[in-house]
Amino acid sequence: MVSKTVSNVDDRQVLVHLGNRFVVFGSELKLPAALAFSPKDIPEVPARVPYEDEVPAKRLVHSIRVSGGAIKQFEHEGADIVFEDKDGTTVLVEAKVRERDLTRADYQRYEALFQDPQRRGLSQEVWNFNVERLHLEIAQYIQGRFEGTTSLRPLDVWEFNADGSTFHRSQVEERVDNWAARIQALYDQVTPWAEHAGLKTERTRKVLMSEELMQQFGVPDREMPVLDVLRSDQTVASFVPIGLWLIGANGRIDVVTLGGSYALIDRAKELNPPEWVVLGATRREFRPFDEVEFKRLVSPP
Amino acid sequence: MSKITETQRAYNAISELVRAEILKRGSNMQDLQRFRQALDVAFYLLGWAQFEHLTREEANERIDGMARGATINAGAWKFVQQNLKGYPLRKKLDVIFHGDAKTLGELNKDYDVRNDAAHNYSRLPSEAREISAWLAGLEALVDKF
Repeated sequence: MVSKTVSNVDDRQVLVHLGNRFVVFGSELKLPAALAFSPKDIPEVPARVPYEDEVPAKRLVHSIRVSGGAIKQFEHEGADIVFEDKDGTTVLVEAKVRERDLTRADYQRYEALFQDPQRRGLSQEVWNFNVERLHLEIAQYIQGRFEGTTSLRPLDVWEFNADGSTFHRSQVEERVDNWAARIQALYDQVTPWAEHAGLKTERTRKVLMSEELMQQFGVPDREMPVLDVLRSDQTVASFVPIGLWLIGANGRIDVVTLGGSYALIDRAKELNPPEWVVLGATRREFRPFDEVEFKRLVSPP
Repeated sequence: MSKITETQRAYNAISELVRAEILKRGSNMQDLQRFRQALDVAFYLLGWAQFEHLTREEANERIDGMARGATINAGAWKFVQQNLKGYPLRKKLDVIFHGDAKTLGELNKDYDVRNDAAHNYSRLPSEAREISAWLAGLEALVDKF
């Protein structure tokens, strides 16, 4: 936790444009809190870029807006941003965009830099935008001495579509919720089929869902259940969720059996009732997944 | 038959071990999931490296042949031949597969996946995880050189 800091970082919300994504970072301690920024605050829909990591850092820095204080100047007095907090204290900010968090070596390097006599008397901060795991770490220095860091989480994330509409983090969350519900519904459907065949089921094991779109939109990783089908105490099949976002499908679960592995694909459109099919060995033909197909999969090889 | 076939056999054998481990009651699915992802990336990169080597050799041979020809384009091919080191892989794929737009498009996508995996340490996208079938497809392409 931060002690003796120049201002309470938890009071701030920071909007930044990371190439295609707009992210509002803020403190989870203040939730539920009204969002300080929304797509309406963006006067002009920016052109999309092919690769976010090719966007110049300077452009990113100039896109930053902060609530709970005011940005006075960009690129002044050797700092990227001159920020005035709500108590009127001036803070010099170094802004960095990285695919990692700050390290101990970084903290020490900035401490040495901020000991510079020209900057020493000022309050200084390093804002480290971790674009890989999407959070903003603010390291604070008083009189050139490192005081501590605070992590701000993405409170909202959105991108503009080509037609000016927005794609929000809530839509990614909705898809993940829908995927979890479809998995549960499939397992509920399979359980009586297993019982009809004299088999038991278990849902004690989990796999971690951590897809790229979730990371891009700051949606936390999620555990998804594995369904094990047992004959006596021997597992004869395991249903393992593989992924939601696939080209041409609305999710895939692998059915690992004693005789081989099979891909179970939902062919329905997103957020529609599922249409599960089993892909054949050549991956070109498929069969509807029903009780007959289930029995065939779990039969001894 | 190239080394890609041997790679596919090795992948199939190790996949079988992972499959047996998944079916072991009480095995840690999250560990197995991570191992599987690492295994898939490793074999994707190995398979692509073997394919890339064969592709470069094949493209170089074709460029040599065209540079020696008596056609009006031979001069241009000689220029390519002299600057072969700087001739990127995608262009070499073009030399071989220019008549098969579908295959060329798929290989360019595969190369993007390879680059993401090799340079950004990305996991493979879900649709690229059929490693055994993908390796068999590369072998089939190499057979047609």
